Parts: sequence; C-alpha cells; structure tokens
Amino acid sequence: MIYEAVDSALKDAQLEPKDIDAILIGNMDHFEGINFSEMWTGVEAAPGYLKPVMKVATGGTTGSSLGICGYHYVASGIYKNVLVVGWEKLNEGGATTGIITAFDPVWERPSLAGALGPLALMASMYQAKYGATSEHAAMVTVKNRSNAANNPFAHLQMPNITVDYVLSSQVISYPLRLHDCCPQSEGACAMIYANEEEAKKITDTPAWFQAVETAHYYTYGTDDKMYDLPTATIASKKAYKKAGIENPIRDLDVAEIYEPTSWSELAWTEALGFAEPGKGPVLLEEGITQMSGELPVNPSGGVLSTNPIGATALVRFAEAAIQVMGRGEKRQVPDVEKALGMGFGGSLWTEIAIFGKEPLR
Amino acid sequence: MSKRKKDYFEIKWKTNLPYRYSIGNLSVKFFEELKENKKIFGSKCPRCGKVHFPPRGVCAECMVEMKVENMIQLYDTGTLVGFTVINYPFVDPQTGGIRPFPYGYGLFKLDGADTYTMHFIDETDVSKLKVGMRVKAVYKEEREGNLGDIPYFVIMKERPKPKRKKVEKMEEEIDERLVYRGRIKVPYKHVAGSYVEKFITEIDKNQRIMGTKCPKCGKVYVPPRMICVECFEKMEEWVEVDNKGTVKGFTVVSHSTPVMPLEPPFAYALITLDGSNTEMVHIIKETDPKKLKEGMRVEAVFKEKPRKRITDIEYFKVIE
Repeated sequence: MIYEAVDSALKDAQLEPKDIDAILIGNMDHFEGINFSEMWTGVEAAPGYLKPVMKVATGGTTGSSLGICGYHYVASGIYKNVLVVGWEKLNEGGATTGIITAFDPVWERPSLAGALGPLALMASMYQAKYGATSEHAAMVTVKNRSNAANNPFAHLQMPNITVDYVLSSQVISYPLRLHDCCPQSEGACAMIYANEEEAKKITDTPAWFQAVETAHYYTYGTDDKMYDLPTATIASKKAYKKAGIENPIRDLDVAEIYEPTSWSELAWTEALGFAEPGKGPVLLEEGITQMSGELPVNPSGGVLSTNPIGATALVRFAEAAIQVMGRGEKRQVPDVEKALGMGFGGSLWTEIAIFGKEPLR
Repeated sequence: MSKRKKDYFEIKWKTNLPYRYSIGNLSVKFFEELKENKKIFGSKCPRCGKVHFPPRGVCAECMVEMKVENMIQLYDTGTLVGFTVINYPFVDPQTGGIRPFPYGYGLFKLDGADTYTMHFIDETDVSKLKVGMRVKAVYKEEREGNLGDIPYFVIMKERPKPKRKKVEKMEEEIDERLVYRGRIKVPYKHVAGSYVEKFITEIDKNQRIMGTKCPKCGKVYVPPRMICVECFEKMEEWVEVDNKGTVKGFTVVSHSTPVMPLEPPFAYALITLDGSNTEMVHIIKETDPKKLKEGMRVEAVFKEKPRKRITDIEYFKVIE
C-alpha cells in the first residue's frame, strides 16, 4: 500500500529513488496495535535505504506535521527533493483503543471512548450554545460523501446520499449518528517536495507553499471545549496574514479541512473564519461550501469519507495542492489560485498550509 | 460498514504490557483526601490564580509549577458542560475486552475550578441530560484512593448555591508509595500480505523455506520482502533455500521480564540459510553460551501443528 503510493508519486514526478535527498514518514503505530512502524515498513516501502529518514507521529495531525516538516526541509535549502509519505491501516488495530492509551491513565482513560466521545461532547456543547440541528450536521455528510463520489481514492463514495439517510442511521454517541462520523480507513499518501529549480524540471504547474502554521494548546483533552477550536483560529489568522488573505471566503478558492465528524465542520469552518461563531450552518444552507459555491470545502470528500489517520492530514495538503495544480479531474474546482489545507489532532493542535499558483516573493 | 470480500492472511496478536505510572505529589494528595475525608482538591496557579482540576503540576499558560501547598479544596458539585452517551463497542485497552456500553459521560466544571474534567454520569437516556445541568459527585462507601472512589456524577434535583467554604491549606506530606499500576491490553490483527502468506504457507504445508530474489542485484531475502531495500525494485521471483544455515551471531537471554516470549534461559541467533543473502532471527535449542559459536551450522525444526506463525519453524538445532 505504501509502496503503491510512493511508486505512483515518483513515476508522476518522473523521479528515481536516487533523486530523492530525504524522506519523511508518518504513522500512528499504536492505532494499529504496534510500535515503531518504521521498522515494519518505513525503509522498505519508501526508498529510504542509506538516506536520511525521519518519522513524525503527532496523532491526527501526523500528516500535516509531515507536510510542514517537508516544507521546512526544502525551504531551509538543506534538501532539494524530499519524499513525504503518511499511512495507516486501521483495520488491523483500533483507533479508539489506541487513542485511549494516549490519555492520562488516572483521570481520563476510565471514561474516555477514543476520539468520538470528546467529539460528541463538543457537538453537544455546540448544539446547546448555537442551536444547530442534526439536519445541519447531516448536510455536511451529504455534501462530503457525495463529493467523494468524484474522488477515485475516497473510501466511502455515496453519490445518492440524502439527509434522511444520515438521520436514519443509529445514534452511536449522542448527538453523533453513525453517518456523522468518519470511517476507519486504510490508505497511504505520498507527496514530492522540491525547491524552485527542481520543481520547474518536474512540472509546469507546481503548487507553491505560501504559508504554513502550527498552533498548540494544553495537554489534557478536557482543557478546551473544542467547538470553538482556538488553535484553528490562531493558526489560520497567522497563515492568512502571510499569504495576503484578508477575507478567506473571497480570497481562498477551495479548502480541504479536517472534519472527523460532520459537527466538526460546522464548528471549525467558523474557527477558520469562514463564518461568524454559530453561523457554520449558514455556509451549507446558502451553498457557499458546496462544489458550486464561493468557497468549496472538501471536494475530495474530506475526512468524513476517508480517514487513514497517519495519511489523512497529508491528504488535505495533497488535495489542496492538486486543486492548485488543476489536476483534480472530476473533483476539480475551476480556476483555483489559492487553496487551504488543514490538519487537526493531538491535543487540539491545528496545522494550516496555504498553497498558491505563484510563489510568494 | 465495509464488507470484507476476501480472506486476508492475518496474524492475530494481543499486546499486554504492564506499566507503572508515577502520578505525582499532587495526585497522591488528591487521592488521600478523597479516600480519608471525601474531599476534592484542585491546584491553583500561584501566578494567574487559575484553579486546575484535575490538579496538575504546571500551569501551562504561566509555565509556573504548582506544588502541594498550592492545592485548594473544591466543591463536589458542578455544571454539566457537554455530554454524550457512548453507544458503540470498542476494546478498552485497560482490560483488553469490550467496554460495557451504553454509558453516559460528560464534561464537567466543578464549582471552584476553572478547567473542565470528563467523567461518567449515571444516566444513559439523553433526553434527561441538558447542558448547564447541576451535577454532584457520588462517593463510594469503601474508598480505595483511586478515581473509582467517585464512580460517577449524578444530576442534582435542585440548584443549591454552593456555600463559600474556607480554603484549607495542605500539609506537605507525601506518600511516595502511591503509584498507579495499569496495563495496556490491545488486541490487533496484522494483515501480513501475500509475501508472508506464501512464506508461512510453504513452511506449514511443505516444510519449505522460500525467499524472494531481486531482479537487479540478485540478492535473496529470507524472510521474503516485496521490495529490495537497496535497489527499490519489486521482487516477484521466489526461490527455495535450504533448511540448514550458519549462525552469524547469537545471545542467551537469562533474565526474565513479564513480556518475554519464552521462559529464560533461551538463545536466539542471526542465521543465514544456505542460498539466502540475509540473516533471519530465530531461536536456537542450546542455552549454554559456551556451546554456541559464530559460524556454527544449524538446521530448522518444524512444528508438528503449525499455527500460522514464524514459530512454525519451532527452533533451529545445532548440527555440527
């Protein structure tokens, strides 16, 4: 699986393993019930033999941390061509079980139910504060899973999904229904990073990093109420400033955000400044974040359609880059100049990258 | 959700790792007060005054240490900030089995605290739960000094206003013996892939050891791999290697820990089978280090009842 992703990325860029100067790999071992996943697959599936290989594992943000490290590797001038690859095989272990072990054994493990429990708490708080409804959440799932039907790499492709279908699914952790939640997927994502000189040899239409930002918060899972996700606000504001974005709805052309649940998209599009607090549902009601809207969110189908954790946030970056490069085929948004990719995870970390058609000078 | 179309070659395993977790002075004091006096304590930042519950050692905003004398008593009442009822099965890494469900749990803000905490709530009917409800901790009669002493929170009937209590100062007296002992029990299955499937199936059915050969450099890998790490070439040619090989290095394990695969002493070695260019690690049936040496010849002994494991080669015996 990893080899398949790496091999297609190298072939697409017409690069040989010898052209790669360094490799960054990412995976959340314990979600697969193992440790040191680089021992299992890292060097073999990616051409890391006798090359500098570094592993990154920061929970849900693994992919975006990888993506940001890749940027630093190349932008620093240390390496010319870098291969970045993230993966996860969630069928093998259990993300819920693994995530519980990431929390404090005395205070949090006894009651914690993986990621969905806290995300359900978040949804209940958001609902109580702003009066958003299950129908609003279902609209997110309908948008993202029907978008996924245009993405050959998506796990759950549901071209004919309806709000009623989502609402008829079982409540698995109030207010979350089964179809409010992301699947457990298996997948790998590989990206090639190159400096200006090398990038011009590879493609005529590279996607340029215009900004990367990371924002962290406390260490305990309960420190923040999550629905207003301050790290997303902090990171996105800084990134917008760097990339010259004054109004994200107007100045961005597409966004690939990290929404482990439908309720997360409602709340976190607000944190990213796409809507005022409490107005996330309006983005859907007015069609702003639909494929035909002013700022399509998750043309790929997003995390709600595909979630191989160690790859997921890198997929957000890759999909944003694909949109800028104009290579999205059926999921392509027309005339993309600037795209946002977001990663979320760890202890409420948010990571943001802004890609553009032109480099910032 | 997704149906499996094919039976993949899976190796099932169960991680079972014991650990000791140092809970720190503040938690030691917290659990003592809980057990002996049914009192709940948090820690107050000496700089910004923020009251943390659960008590913790550092105020992250100020980067200031909070000591036992910075602990203050909180109320056992609070407000429900968020809630859910868990209604899906998952493996609890504390037990290795499915955690019983449904169960209610919520995010609480204890009166007197500035942070949130999650815990069980004794209610699985979501229609009876509402954000903003007043809740109260329930104590166990026979307390043991762990979080189980507060098995859950209950919804309060009325909304009594908490009476102002005088903040108590803690004495700096710590019982260092209070350590939280837990286990991480995680079952998993490894989808081993077609290469491992062929390798182990050949051992189990035909007692043959197979390797893969790189089309570029000709190196034979045992155990087989899909990609030659040196050439980054996909290997599709299978070759049979001999059951006999040469020891390249060895050790004898003589100390015991709870996670050892075998009862010590046992020996294992790096073995290069005749016809292979790589070393494999396996057990040698000879535990006297004086009788082991590099370069000695060994032969695979196969298990009578194979179990889809590399240990279907049960061990290697010394032949010279």
